[in-house]
Amino acid sequence: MKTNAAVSLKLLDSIPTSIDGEVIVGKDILDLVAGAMYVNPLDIFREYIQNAADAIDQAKDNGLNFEDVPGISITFDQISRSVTIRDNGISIPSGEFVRRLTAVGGSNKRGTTLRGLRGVGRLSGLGYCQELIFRGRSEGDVEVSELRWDGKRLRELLRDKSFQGNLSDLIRSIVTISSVPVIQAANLPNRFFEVELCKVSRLKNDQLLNEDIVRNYLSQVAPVPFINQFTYGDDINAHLIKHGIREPISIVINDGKGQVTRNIQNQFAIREGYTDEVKGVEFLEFPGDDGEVAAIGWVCDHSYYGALPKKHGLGGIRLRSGNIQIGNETILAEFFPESRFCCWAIGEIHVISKQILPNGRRDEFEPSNHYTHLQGEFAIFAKQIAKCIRIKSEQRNRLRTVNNHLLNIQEWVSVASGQNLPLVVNTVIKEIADEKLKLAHREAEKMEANADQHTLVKAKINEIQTLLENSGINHGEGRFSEFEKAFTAAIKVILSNSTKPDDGVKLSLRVLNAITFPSTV
Amino acid sequence: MANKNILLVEPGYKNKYPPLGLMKIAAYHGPYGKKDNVKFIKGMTDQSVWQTNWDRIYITTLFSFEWKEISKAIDYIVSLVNGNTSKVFVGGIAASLMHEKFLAEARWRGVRIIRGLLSEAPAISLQLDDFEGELYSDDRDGTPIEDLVPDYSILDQLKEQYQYPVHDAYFAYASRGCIRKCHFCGVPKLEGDQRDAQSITALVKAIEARHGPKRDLMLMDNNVVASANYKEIIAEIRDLGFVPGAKLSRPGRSPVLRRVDFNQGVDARILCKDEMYLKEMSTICIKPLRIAFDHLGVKKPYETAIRMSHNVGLHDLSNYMLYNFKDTPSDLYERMRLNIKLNEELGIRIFSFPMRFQPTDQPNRDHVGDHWSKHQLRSMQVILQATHGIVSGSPEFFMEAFGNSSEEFEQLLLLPHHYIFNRVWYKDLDGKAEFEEYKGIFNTLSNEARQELKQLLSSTTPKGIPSLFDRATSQKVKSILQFYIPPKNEEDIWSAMKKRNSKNQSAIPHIPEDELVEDAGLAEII
Repeated sequence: MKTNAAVSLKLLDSIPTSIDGEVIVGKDILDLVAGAMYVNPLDIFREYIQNAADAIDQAKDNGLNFEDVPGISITFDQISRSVTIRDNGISIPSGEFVRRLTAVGGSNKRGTTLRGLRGVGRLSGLGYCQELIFRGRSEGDVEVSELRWDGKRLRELLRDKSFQGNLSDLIRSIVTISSVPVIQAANLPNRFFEVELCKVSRLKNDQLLNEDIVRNYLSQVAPVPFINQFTYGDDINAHLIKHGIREPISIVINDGKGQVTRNIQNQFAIREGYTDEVKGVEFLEFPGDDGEVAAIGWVCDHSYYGALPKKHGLGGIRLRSGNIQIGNETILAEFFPESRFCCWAIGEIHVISKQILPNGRRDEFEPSNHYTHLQGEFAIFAKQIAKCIRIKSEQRNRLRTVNNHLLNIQEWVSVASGQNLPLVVNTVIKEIADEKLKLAHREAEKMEANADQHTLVKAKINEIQTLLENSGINHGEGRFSEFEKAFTAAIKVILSNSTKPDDGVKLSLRVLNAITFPSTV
Repeated sequence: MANKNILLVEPGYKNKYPPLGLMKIAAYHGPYGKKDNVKFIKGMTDQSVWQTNWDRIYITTLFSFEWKEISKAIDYIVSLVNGNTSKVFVGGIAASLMHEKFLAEARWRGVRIIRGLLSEAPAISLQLDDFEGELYSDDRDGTPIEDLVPDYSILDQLKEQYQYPVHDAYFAYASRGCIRKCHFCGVPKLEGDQRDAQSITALVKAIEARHGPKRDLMLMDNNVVASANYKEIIAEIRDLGFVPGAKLSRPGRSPVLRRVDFNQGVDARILCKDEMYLKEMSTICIKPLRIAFDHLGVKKPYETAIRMSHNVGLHDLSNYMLYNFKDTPSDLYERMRLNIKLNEELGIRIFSFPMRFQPTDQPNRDHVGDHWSKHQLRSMQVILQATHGIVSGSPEFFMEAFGNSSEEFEQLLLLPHHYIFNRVWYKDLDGKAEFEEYKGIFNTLSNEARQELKQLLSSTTPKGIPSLFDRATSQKVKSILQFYIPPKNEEDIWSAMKKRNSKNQSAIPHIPEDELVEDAGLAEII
C-alpha cells in the first residue's frame, strides 16, 4: 500500500495552477492587529512615535517649512482618560486621509529610508481604548480631516456571531469620517497629524496614562536626544550621523518635565545611594557578511560594579533600527558568557544594513543570513565586554587587598608609636608590617593593566612605607638571645592572630610581664 | 455577583469619629447590599490582607494635613494590588479638598480619586466603566451610596486595635452644605449649597433595626439653623426621644443619659435673630451647644446668642474659636475674655476650644497666619496642652493662663516655653529668681527688639535656639535669648511638680473624650 500511494501521486502528474475564487480575509485579522501584535502595551507609543518621526523626516526631506521646532507632543488628560500624540511632520492630505488610514497592511514606506514597513502599527492603540481618532491637516489643505475607529463597536462585532462580514465590512461598520473647515479649527496648527486615544483601558499602574512610565519607556526606545549635560552626547551623535542615522527628534510630554531625553548621564545610580561615572565612550563598528558596515554603536566605559537596575532603564547593550529600539535591554543577553553581564554594560548598537529588517513586533530582527552573521559579531563583542567586567572586578579585588594591607600597617604603626613598647614586641610589629608591605607590593604589581590605578596604588604604598620607616619601630635583629628569639616567635603568634592590634599588644605585654615577674601573676 | 472581596482602609492617623463614608460603602457591599465579604482595616498593621486577592479596595481620607499618613496608606495598597490600581478608590475629605494634589501623583495612576459625595448611582459616582466590565459597573440606577444606612458592624473588626472616641451614636445629617462661604472652611468645596438631607427618623430607625440602639445622636450639619425646616428637624429629634433627661436602657447595661450634638457648631448670626431657635434647641437634650466664635466681628451676635441660651436654660455651652487666620492674638484674647465675662455674669460655663487655622488644601500643619508667628503658635500649643485644648472657664485660671489683658497675653506668648509649661515652678518656686531676671531684661526691650526676638525664635525649632545668638543684632536680644534654651533639668522640674500637684488637685476641667474637639493639633511640633 505504501508504494501504491507514492506511485499514485506521481501518476497524477498535475500542473499547479493559481486559485481563483474569493480568498477570505476575516474580521478577526483586525483583532490581531489591534490588540495582539505587541507584547508590551507601551509599544503602542513606540508605533505612534515612529510614524510621527517618519512624518517629520519626510517633511524635512521635502523641504517643508516648520513653524515650530520639528517635534512630537504627547498630551495626557487623566480626567477624560485620553492621550494625544501630535507631530508637525508631513501629515496626510485630505484626499488620501481615509484610504491610507483605513488600509490594513501595505505601507508605502517599505523600501524607503523611513522606519515604518508594514502599515499596521497605527491600529495598535485600538485594542487599548474605546475610541481611536486620527486627525490631520497637510500643507495647503483647507480642512482638518478626522477619522474615528469605534473600539467599543469593534469589540461588540468581534463577539457577535451573527456578524458575517469580512475585514472590509467590519472596518466600514466601525469607522466614521468627518472634516472641519480650517476656519472652525483655528486652535489647530497649520500642518499636523495627531492620534487621540479616548477612554484608555486601565492597565497595571495605568501605564498608558502614566506620564512617568511612558517617559521612562520613550527615553529608552524613542529617537530622542541625549541630555545636554552628558559629556559624550555630541561625540556619539556625530558618530551616528556620520553613519547615516537621522537627527534625534524632540518629544515633549505635558508633565512639566519638558523634553524626553535618553537616560544616560555622566553620573548614574547603580543602586540606592551609590553612583558610578561614565569615564569615556568607545565607538563600535560591526562588519556585515558583504564586507560593508552592518552596524555601528557605542559603549560606555565605567566601573562595571554590577547589573544596573531595570527601573532606571539604562543597563544593557541595546539594538536599534532607525534609531528606535528593537526588543529590550536583554536582546543580546544570550551572547554573553553569563547572560547577567548584559545588564552591567551601557551601550547601543544601531543596525544600518538595509538587508537586516526588524520583525513585525519589533522585538527582534527578521531571521536571515545577514543577521546571523551580525549576531556572530555581537557574540565576539559580548565576550570582550565580559572580559572587561572580569578584569575590572579583579582589579577591584586587588585594590581592596592592597588597601586592607596598608590599613593594617597603619593600625600597627599607630598602636606601636603611641606607647613605648619593649623591643621584642616592636620587632614582631615591624616584621608583621614588613610582610604586609611585601604582600601589598606583590598585589600592586598585578595591577599593571590599569596604568593610572597602578601608579596611584604604588604612590600610596610608598607613602605607607615611608610612614613605617619613620615610625621608629625597630627590629632587634641579631641582638636577641635564644630565649628572646623563642619569645619573639611566641609573641608573633599572638599578634598575628589578633583581630585588633591593640588587644594583641595588651595580651603580649601581659605575657611579657608574667615571664618577667612570675610571682605577680 | 456576591462574595467579592472588598477591603476598606482608613489610614493610620488618630481620629475621633468612625469613617462614615466607609461605613456606607460597607453597607453597599455587605450583607444588606451586594453580599460581598467586607474587611475593614486601619493603618497597615493587619498583615492578613496579603492573603486575599481583593476585588476592590476603598481608602478614605480625612484631614488634608495628614497627607503623609494618607500617602503611606495609598502606597501600601498600590503594592498590595501589585500595581493593579484600577481596583483602588480613594475618597473622603482630603481627597476632595486636595483633589489635584492626589491626581498629580504619577505613582498612583489608575487609582480613582473621588471628589465630593457618592450621591449619584454607585456606578456613576465611582466612575465605573461598563466597557471594561468592572465590578458592578451596571449599577447605574441603584440607591446612591451616600444614602445608605451605615454599616456599624465593620467597627467591630477594629475592636482590638482602635476604639473611636465617638462610636455609640447615630451619625446623621439633617441638612448638608452651608449658606455661607467662609474662606477658612472646606464645606463650600466639599458639600456646596445648603439643602435638606433625608429624614433622620428613617435613618435612625434603620440603624437601630440593623445595628441596635445607640446612645447619642450626632448630627454633623454644617449650619442646621439655616435650614428652612429647622423646626421640623428639632421636632423629629424630639419625636425620636432625644428630650432633656432622656435615658437609654439596654439589656444588661445600666441606663445612660442620651445627648444630641450638632458637632460642627451652630451659627450665632442666625441664632441671635429670634429666640425661637434656642427655645427649640432647649427642647432636645443638646449637650453641649456649640456656638462658633470665629472672629471679633461677630461679637454682638455671639454675645446675644449666649445670653439667649442662658435665658432658655441652655447652660452647657461649648465654643469653637478660630485663630491663626486673619485675626491677631489680641482678637483671640478678647474673644476668650468675653466668655469669661459671660461666665461670671450669667453663672454659666462656656468651654472654649481655640482651633488653629490651616488652609484646607495644605498637606501639613505649618501654616502661620499673617498676625501670628511660629513661636506664638507654639506658646498657644503649650498653654492648651495642659488643658487638652480647652480654655478654662474659671476667671482665676484663665487670667493665670492667658494674662489679665491682651498686652499681657502677647507678652505671655513670647515667654520661653518651659516657663509656660512649668508656670508654677518659675512663678512661685525654685525657678522664681531666673524668671525675675528674665522679666527684668524683657521689660527693657524696645518694641523693635521684641519684634526681632519674636522673628528669631520663630525662625527655628527649640533645638536651634543656640544658633540664634550669632544672628541677633542687639546685645539685649542676645542676652535674653539664653533664657529660651530649654533647661537640662526640665524632667526634675516635672517630677517635683508632679509630687506637688498630686497633693492639690489640678483645675483641669473634666470633659468626656467624645465631647472634646476633634483635633486641635496639640501633639505635634510646629
